[in-house]
Amino acid sequence: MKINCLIQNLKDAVQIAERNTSKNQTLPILNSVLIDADGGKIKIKATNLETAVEINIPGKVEDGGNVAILAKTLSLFLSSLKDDRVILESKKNNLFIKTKTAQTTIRGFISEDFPLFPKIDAVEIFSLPANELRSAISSVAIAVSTSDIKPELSSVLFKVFKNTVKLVATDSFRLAEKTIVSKNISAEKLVSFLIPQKSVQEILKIIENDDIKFGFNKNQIILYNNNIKFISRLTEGIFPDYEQILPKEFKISAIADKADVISNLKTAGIFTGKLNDLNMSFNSDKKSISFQTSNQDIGEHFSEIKTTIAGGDTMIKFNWRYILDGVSQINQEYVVFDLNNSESPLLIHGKGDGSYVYLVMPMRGV
Amino acid sequence: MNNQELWTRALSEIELSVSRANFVTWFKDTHVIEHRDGNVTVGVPNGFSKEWLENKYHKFILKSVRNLIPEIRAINYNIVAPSDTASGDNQQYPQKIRSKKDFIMQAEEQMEFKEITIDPRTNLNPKYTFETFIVGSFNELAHAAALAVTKNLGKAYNPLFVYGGVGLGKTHLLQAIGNYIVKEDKNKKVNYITSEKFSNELVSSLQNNTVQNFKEKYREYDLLVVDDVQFFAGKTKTQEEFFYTFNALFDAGKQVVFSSDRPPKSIPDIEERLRSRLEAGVIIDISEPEYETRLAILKSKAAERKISLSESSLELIASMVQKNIRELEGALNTIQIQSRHQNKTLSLEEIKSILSKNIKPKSTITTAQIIKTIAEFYDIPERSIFERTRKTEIVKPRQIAMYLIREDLKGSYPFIGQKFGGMDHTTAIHAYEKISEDLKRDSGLEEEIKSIRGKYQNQK
Repeated sequence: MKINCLIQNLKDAVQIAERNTSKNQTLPILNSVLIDADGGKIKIKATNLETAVEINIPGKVEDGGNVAILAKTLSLFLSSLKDDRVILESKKNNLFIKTKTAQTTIRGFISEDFPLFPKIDAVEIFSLPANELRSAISSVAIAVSTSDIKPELSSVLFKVFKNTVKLVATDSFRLAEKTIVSKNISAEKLVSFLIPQKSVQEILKIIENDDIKFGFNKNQIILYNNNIKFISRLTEGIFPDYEQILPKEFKISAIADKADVISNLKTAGIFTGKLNDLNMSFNSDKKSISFQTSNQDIGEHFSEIKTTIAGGDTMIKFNWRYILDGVSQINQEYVVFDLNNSESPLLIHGKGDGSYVYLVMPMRGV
Repeated sequence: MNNQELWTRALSEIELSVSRANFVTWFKDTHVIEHRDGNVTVGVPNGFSKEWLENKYHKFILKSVRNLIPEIRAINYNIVAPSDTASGDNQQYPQKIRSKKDFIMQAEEQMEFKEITIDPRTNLNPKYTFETFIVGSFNELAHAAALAVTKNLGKAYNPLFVYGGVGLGKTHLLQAIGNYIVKEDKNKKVNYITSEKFSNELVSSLQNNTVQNFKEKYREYDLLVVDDVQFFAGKTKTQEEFFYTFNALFDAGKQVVFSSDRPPKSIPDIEERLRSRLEAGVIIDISEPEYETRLAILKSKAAERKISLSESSLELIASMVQKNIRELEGALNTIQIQSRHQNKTLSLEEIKSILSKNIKPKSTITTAQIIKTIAEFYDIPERSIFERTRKTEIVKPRQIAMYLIREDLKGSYPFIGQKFGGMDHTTAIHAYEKISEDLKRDSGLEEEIKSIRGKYQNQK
């Protein structure tokens, strides 16, 4: 193999690849990235057997072939280089690197041992604009469960039907749902799959500005655009029938300024106790929502904001972080709180926007 | 040679020809799923193993397998999740649970979406089992019938119809049947649904043009549990669709179980043919629990939630909260929260004052309210009850009115006579005794009185 490329391009690709390597003790080659120049293109590949990534970088291929190098060493080395261009050459299993100023050899692995990537026959199922996908993922990822006990709850559900994709996540205390409508989607039948939390975080990092195409089979999903391919396993299991969790009717509905709510929440948060408990009161006479917290060791706090409110009065207790998480994801100027009573969930969404809903359960004992 | 033996012996040979690291990585969690007509299907845990075995080790594998069974011609690789081993691992090493006390306390106070625990395949909540169902004289018949159903699915008591008031454990019993069946045989198809959800699903399948899927889905269950069938009332299209579903299941010898807050003949607005289907099997009622059972239930709930309360406190709660089991649970929760809040064990007096605040005081019903409700129920003018007439359509409501005033308001006979336009107290005695007698024979009358009572008691 002999290739010639810009260091910056190579470095960026190796950094992404490095995140997808594994500290596998039994198979050390999983710590490596494969530089593959077969077929006239330069590809950087890495896998930890859960996810796999393949990045195309621009450059000139003089001779085909490939080489597998310890990801960490290569990435550290590239970051330290000051030159622009680099020539990479494989010598047996080792990598010979030549710049204007340096000549380096890095020991490699037997590249034939590098894992083969699964083939996913499914062609493009649908595609989404990168920015929409990014904001959708980050708006639901807050509700993913951090415990591994129920794998389906530590994943994000993608539900594709007709011209919409719904992304849903819940940790059983709160639930977030984002709907993307796009004319580029046309699923005749309902298809759904669960992407594990780790892979979702990785997807957030790798998506750039191009549209992302999705293809999948029973066990795996592939996301790709012109430069990058990302493969992940899918979570086995069935996501709860979340639609029956979403209440259909509400007795109380209050609309408040989002910035107001956030600043009041943050202040109240200073004074919460161990349980992060925040008392919220909805008062229709005073047309207000109040926030009240107290902590034996720190002090007590009460604040009130003006709202437009319909329906009766109620007091309800929440983990304030859960409320803040939800309100922060709203993109509108005004945020709507819909609820029934102190023992049923609160629905948060932007005024005049049904594409994102965040549902949170209260705490016991107002 | 069975599949497992075949694979173990093949692996021991393969192990010799590949490196240790490769063997551990690529052959972990593999097994033979199927061996038929010279074709062997190997189950592999993920796409990477599949590619690797197919492309790199296929020759080794084929050779070693052929050494054992020469007839084998081809080997296929299929991805199957190593579900058994994976879940086993999880149980052994519960991952990353923060062992802090705070976390446990927080988990207790933070409420969950209760729908999350529901198994999406069956709609059953796994916490409802026979083991946690407390049997007393008020529900032992229903419990016995439910057990009989599980022993002999579709053959004994089909359909089983259980009715009783709210919060008495109907849903628990129904779900216990379902959970038991699924536990015994994973392949049995069980579904729990409320009549309301059935109706909603039907409507959305009509909208999306997927009625055929809807029909097929419901006709393949071995056990269908339908909760709260009284909500079928007035929904003609749903009733019709359900009627066909029921027939299909029943004819195929599949079990159907129903619950309702009243017996089939008291459910208004359901078609006669559906009503007769509901009545075709066994109808059993669950009444209100007596003191001993309430105490037993409290003890088990308290143990389940690790609430420590003295024997006498539990006895007090059991004697104060009489109506239903859900209220018992509520009372227990309230006391737990209060005692945590005040950071001490509550005294009997305190418990008493908390509960008396929360329990609805016996509603103050007046004779006028009772008479008005009865007049409305029988669709007669209110004043006609006071008329001195012997028309049957008036006499019966009047007697029921007297009976209810005597029973529920403890009105004296002379008082009752006076209320009804200066009748003699013997008339009131006669009316009371007549209705009491009729009640023993006529369950239709019993239902009528029950729903009249329900009406004026709910007005409060």
